[in-house]
Amino acid sequence: MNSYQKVWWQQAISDHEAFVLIRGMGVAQCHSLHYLQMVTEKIAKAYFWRSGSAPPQSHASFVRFLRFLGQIRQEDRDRIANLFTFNRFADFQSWIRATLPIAYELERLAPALANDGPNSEYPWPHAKPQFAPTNHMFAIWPSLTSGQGRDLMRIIRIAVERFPEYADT
Amino acid sequence: MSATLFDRDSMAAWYAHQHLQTDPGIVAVYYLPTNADDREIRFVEINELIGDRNDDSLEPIDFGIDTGTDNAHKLFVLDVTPAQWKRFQVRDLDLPGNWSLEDAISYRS
Repeated sequence: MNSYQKVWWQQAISDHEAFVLIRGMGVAQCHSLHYLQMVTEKIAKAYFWRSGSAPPQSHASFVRFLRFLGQIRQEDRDRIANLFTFNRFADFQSWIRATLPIAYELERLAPALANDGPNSEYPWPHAKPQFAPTNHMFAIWPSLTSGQGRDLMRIIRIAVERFPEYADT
Repeated sequence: MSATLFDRDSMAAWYAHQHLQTDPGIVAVYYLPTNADDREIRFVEINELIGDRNDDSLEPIDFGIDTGTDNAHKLFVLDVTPAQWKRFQVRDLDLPGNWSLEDAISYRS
């Protein structure tokens, strides 16, 4: 892990701690979603800093991160699958394919990717705001609180906690 | 906060039926009241769609619900594969913390 990755990872850890606290407090959905979106963006950027060059500033990085993990080189596949709790790499790939729709929805919670619609931070639409995130029932919430969504949360926790074990992969 | 307004067992039954109705992977929900706080609902949900996984995947996910109201409570869900559930039953695998199968109530689809 290089020094750039380390600071992004440290921020992802802190964001994840905040996310877990907020989720357990039962406050408005937007706050849990905001922190979860930030965790996923930052752990992805921590990973992409492995080249030593800055990844794109776009908030869209988590889907790309999952895709990279699903396409890593042959010699690392068993180790990475096991790290993320899967017994076979093919199962991990299947899980990524099944989970990508939720990952896309998570990315689109960032205001810059929300197309002037529901996002976890600011009232919308920008020109004539009518809706506040705190009052909104987000379409992603039922997915995230399903078995598949809870599973994604566990994998995100592992992605953060065990980052040093795959940061250079 | 009134302790009489919140009926944990009824709320657990409602959640269990909701989860079974809306999540196609869940084949059974076990409600584990033993050792849980008065406003804590603990579920083990057997999920056929999780696939074969190692035991690092075992982590209860908690959600705070209705915070600041008389109905405030926490819902913890531990998702397991059918194989992991069998191992819990023969004590080949430990439940988290002080979770217990004693007096567990099952709900099925």
